Amino acid sequence: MSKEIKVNKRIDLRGEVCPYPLVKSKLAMEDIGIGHVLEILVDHLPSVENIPRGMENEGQDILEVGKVSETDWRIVVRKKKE
Amino acid sequence: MEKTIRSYLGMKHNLVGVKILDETDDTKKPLKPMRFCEMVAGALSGKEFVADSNDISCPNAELCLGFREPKYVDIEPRIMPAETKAVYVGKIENADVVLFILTPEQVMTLSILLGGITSNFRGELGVCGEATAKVYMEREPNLSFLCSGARIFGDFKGNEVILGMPYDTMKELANRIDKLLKTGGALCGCQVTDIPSEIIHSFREIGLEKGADYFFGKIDGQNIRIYLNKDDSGRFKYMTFYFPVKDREVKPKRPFEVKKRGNWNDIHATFKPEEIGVNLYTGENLKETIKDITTKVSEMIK
Repeated sequence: MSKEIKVNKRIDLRGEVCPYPLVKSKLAMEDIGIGHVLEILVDHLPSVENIPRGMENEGQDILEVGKVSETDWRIVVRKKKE
Repeated sequence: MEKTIRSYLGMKHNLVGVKILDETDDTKKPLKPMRFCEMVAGALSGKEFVADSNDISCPNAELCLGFREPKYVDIEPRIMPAETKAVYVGKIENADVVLFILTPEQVMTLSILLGGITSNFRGELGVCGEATAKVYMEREPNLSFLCSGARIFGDFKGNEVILGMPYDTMKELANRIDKLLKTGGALCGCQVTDIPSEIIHSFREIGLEKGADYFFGKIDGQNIRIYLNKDDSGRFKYMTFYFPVKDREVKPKRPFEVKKRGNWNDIHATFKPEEIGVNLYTGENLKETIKDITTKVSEMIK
């Protein structure tokens, strides 16, 4: 399913810990247009919960949250609101 | 209890009580959503908050404090099951968890009193998870070195760490300190305080509390710290006065000097008690002399 999603921007936040992954994800969302998709790669476990939560709170669409390796997670978000 | 503990450890901040509530209460709602660690930082100077999940702006704290279950991956430490409706942050009375902001030296003193302190930390979820949720769930004290979020948003300093402990443990701690002070303060063969009780009494009589190796408080509205320094033979021979002043210009007059400490100016001078007419043991002239010195220092501050 993830291969079907067209990603417009990717950010690699592996090695970053809270609060930076959520802050940097929000900044990256500002750089893309409405309807565009941001892919976020993280390895900090709390970020797997708080990035989707933070994005949902801002009205964005969470398309996918999944584990891609032993340590890494992929979060895919579609921008619905400025 | 709080006064006893803070005085013994020489703590700068209030203790902070955290209580997990099963109903909301609108009386002490934050004016805008805040991070939990920001609320704890506010409570260090006496503020109180009752926050529901809408008042907490940090998704990590929402999860750790049991406002919601995780959706994608389990995060620990957290309060389980997630049935929290609100959290109180403020006074320590009847709290579930009491939070201490400490320096490493204060942790050392405290660990002797508690017979050891366990530190289970990862540098993440420091205040909400490691110091609060973990302690709430396991009913044991835990020391955390805080996290980036707490240091940024809670403005905790580089030399500060956080210790969470159950309310009952804190009560036992206060009782232990009380007993210790009554028996002269000996701990495991080494004297944590070797200031004679008559001197401690003299300073307490004039409203100054004892820190680890000094006395502190306010005289005529001015903060003051007084260290008792020993000579080579170990006798209390000198008194060093410190008057911390923030963001204000100081023109020191001898024998006072000024030492910069961040935004603070410490006005300080050392005296021999007999030269300023003080008898430390009987307390004779102590109050009058300290007031007199404070008045002189106040005139140097613009």
